[in-house]
Amino acid sequence: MGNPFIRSPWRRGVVTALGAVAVAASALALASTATAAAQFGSRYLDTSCCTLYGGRANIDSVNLNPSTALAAARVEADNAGAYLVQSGFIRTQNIGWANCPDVSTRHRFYEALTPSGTYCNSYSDATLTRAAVLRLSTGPTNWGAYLDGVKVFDGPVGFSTASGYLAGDEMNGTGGPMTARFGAGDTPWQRALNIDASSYYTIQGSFVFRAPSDKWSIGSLPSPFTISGP
Amino acid sequence: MILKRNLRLVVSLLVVVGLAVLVTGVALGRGGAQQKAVAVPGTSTACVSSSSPAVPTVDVENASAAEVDLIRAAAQRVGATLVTAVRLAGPPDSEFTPLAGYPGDRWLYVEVRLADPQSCRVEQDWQAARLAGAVRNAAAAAALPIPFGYTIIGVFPDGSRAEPISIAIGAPIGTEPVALPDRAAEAARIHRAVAAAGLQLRLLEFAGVDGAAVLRTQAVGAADDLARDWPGLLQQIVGNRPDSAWLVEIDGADGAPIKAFANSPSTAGTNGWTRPDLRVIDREVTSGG
Repeated sequence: MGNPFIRSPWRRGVVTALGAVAVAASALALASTATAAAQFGSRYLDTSCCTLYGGRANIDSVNLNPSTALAAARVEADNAGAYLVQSGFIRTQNIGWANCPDVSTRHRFYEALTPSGTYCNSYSDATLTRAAVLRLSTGPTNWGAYLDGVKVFDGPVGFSTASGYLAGDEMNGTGGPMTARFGAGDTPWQRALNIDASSYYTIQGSFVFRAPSDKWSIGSLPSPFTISGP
Repeated sequence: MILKRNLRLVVSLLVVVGLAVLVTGVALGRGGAQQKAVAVPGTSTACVSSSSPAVPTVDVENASAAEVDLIRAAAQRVGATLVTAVRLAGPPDSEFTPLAGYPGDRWLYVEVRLADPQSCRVEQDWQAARLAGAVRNAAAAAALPIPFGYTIIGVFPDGSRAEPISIAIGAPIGTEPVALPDRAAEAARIHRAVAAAGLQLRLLEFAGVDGAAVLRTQAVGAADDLARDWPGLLQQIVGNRPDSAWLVEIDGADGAPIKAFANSPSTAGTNGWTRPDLRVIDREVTSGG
């Protein structure tokens, strides 16, 4: 592995042209040596649709192939502020650290940015993963991160219901391209209908976010849909 | 008199310029690209504390004497000085089950000392992770029941507790941090690297039998510059050591922590902390949906 350290600028958010709603894009970090801005492609929901308790999606056909820095495909819930929780796939190249441990090969992961600190663990790779982030009743601001139906993180992340919930890709650096498919197989892209996610709704409509705005290809709903870029 | 008048002019100009900057900042904040600071109280409590010889108290549920010994030995092996109690039991709930390829049926509950709810807890969380990884590996090697995750329970001085944080271990069983072959050589390297980075070394210790480097440094530059330069500083100080355990804290000129980050290979986990007002968000106006 090369340079193992990358910048940790917390996360980027995006604001709709209406200026009313912010949606999280990432907590993953910029490479210290790859100074290009983080790039995002995602489908997202905000509070204009519903109360956001998180949700889930299968993620497969994952090609995280930036020639520099970091790539990730994940589902994420955030507070349009400093805090979020996300899970899915991650890989770095020529760098090692985001807020996460050594992921110089593709790993499943979760990451939580919380008031008390950042937490990230990586897990062995898999062909397909059902990634989920869910609001839990285990505490007033507790969310869980799941991989393949198994909870891997449960903690207070600093917000109750989310301001944004997304399925999307992130790439730091100038390499690429990368592609991930969301909602394949028996788990389309869904949102949880209540705390502890006792039921789900398969998402029929959502917003699209691209940064840069002209360099991501974002498939249409219904699931599965592919996000490629940049 | 002229001097006084000039002084008043200068002060007036400064006030005007200051107001203009303030107004401009507010305007930018509502419009185009901006940065948003999170208004959360900071802390003057260091992330890294000087170690003490404390040995954790071990209270193990449904466990054999061998497991108790194993946990105590692991706590000493990793230098878990901020861990006050360890309990071995089942996982917190039925959704915590082992991922395929990650055997285990037990869970560690690790209590750590916290100064207050706002304090940096990187070292406590890091010690809990290191202990959990060490206990899991030792249990597997001894053919004892294997804990596959752990819960960190922060305990404040008044006995109250923070919301627990539960984590499934990510590293394959048997993953141990790579031990430092030569602590003196590493200390010399770190001293050179810290000086080259323009920092002062306030504390350097090697924790546990693997010699995990624990550093507290201090800078003289602006805090936001340090936060921005953090990855480069981290790389410069620690070097390329993804398979070793370490913890780095950088303090500002006022001695209060700015950032800290820790690596725990035995759990494939990291944890970190940034001063709340430096948890910056870049916002971009875009066409949205």
